[in-house]
Amino acid sequence: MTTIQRVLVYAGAAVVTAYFLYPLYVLLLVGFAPVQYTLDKIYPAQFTMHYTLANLVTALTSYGFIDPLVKSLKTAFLVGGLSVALGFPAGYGLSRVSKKVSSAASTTLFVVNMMPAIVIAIPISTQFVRLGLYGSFVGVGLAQELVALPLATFIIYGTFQAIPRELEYQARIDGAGVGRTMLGVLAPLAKPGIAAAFLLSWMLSWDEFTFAILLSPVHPTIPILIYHNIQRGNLLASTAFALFLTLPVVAITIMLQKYLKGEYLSGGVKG
Amino acid sequence: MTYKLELTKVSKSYGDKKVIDDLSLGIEPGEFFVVLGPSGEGKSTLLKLIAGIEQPDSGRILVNGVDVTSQPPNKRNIAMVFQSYALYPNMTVRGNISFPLRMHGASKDTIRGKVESVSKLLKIDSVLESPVSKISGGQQQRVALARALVRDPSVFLLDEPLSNLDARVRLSARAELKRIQRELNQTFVYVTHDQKEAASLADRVGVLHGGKFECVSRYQDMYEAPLTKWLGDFLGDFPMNFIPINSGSGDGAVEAGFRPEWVKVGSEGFHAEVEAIESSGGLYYLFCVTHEGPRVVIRDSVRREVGEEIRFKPVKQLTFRNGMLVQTPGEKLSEPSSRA
Repeated sequence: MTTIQRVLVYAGAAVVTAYFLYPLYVLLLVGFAPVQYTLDKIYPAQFTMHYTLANLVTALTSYGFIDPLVKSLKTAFLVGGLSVALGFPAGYGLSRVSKKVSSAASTTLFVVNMMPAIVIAIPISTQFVRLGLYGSFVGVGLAQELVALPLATFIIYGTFQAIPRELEYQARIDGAGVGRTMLGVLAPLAKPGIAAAFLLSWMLSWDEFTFAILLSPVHPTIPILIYHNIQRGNLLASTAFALFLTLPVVAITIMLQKYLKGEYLSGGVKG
Repeated sequence: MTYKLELTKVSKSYGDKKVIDDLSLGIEPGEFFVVLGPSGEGKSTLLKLIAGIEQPDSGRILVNGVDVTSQPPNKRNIAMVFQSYALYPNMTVRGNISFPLRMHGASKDTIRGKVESVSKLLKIDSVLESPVSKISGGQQQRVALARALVRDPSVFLLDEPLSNLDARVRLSARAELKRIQRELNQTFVYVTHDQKEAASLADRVGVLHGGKFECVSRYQDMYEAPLTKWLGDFLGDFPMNFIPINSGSGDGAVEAGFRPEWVKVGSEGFHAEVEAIESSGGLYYLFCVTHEGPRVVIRDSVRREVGEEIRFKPVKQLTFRNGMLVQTPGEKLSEPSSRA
């Protein structure tokens, strides 16, 4: 690459990055700048030297933020955990049956995802009312799992396909039973896929709206809380909550990104 | 302790394809047995059946007389080295070698001692703590071998373990493998498509063809006197030459078979025209078409020209009737065992 090419590449990357980061910047600006510089102005400032924590303190203390936060967290971890717990054996199974079966199965996996969530959510909520799951985080989590699980299974399936079968054979020959082969040999190798499946499921649940508002409108998760506050005109509180919605996503992505890199399986199998 | 391995009437099909067809075999304790065959003839399947990764459709597999057919691989105490080595990529060399011992619940001290001694034997003790991705191909092959040697298995299965090595490294690895097998005096079953490997390693060679052993004997014996035309064609750097002969008796197609080196080029015998020449170590292999029609490969020590007319006469030849070797009385054949 010549110097000019390199400069152009970086310039392009800078423009794209700025484009995607701008909404987040506005969020931070509104969250931390006094309202007279942002929401109270017809043309809000794009930059200011005045900052305050008062917006956040007010928002977090006066609008019942903690319960929705806890509920969102519980739901997201339930969805992520279930995705791994069910997606791991399912993905393994798919990778070990014949191509014919697995491609048919992996296509039908996504039938639920092809339907509008609301079509599924309404019958589910009537059933959940009967089961006593209506309004609980378990109910919301199970419904969201419908969408998350096919994705998680598909990702883990892809990871298992990349793991040579011979490693599994070798483990069995070396004296490992079925369980130890799965957990001791295959699971560590499938870590990237498991991490990706968990991460995606977690985030899918974290900002999921349709199931959450239909199945638990009274004790909401954070996205529903934000929605309620926008409805009531509490833009400042919504901004604060949106910040809190975004931060864990950033943190988790950074935490898990080392597992999302390739080259993880290199060196074990030659040829 | 050395173990005897027996397969009785083992069959295995994938869909409609019969990969192993009613195969029986007895491998003696401490024997180095090589399964030789073209690719796609079920060599690896045979090993998988012995290891227990695949279940035979019928037949039994016995180790020292004990039927292990229904046992899972982890209960069979058979060691195997795959062509790809199948090293656990997330573990160090030590982790890989100690894995079978850990699975069998050996104590920490035992594991340490055995890993150290086997890694000294295979000269990989200096890389014990390295990740397997950071060592050379030759070292990876040794790690795979060490992992098989570290426990005390009944039978060693090796699936083309040298085929991923450079030519030079392969030669020394081959010699070392043979040495180790002699020292351990254990039963080895070794799969390869490389005839040189088979010739140099094996006590006995079994040539797999069409799901059965075409022949089981010493390599040199089956090279000198292949039991079937197919075998003559398959063995050797160049296929055996076949020329139809008039038997007079009229019972089936009779052919004379001879190797390129069994021929004397001179002023008598068959007329042929040289079509192509391949030189190898001071010798020339002449690809000729005989005036009678069949193409032959013959060896000569003199350089010839393409298009040259030559005459050659086999100084030694075998007779095949309907594709099977006819043992003429008086001809000395060093007792190849019968078609299994």
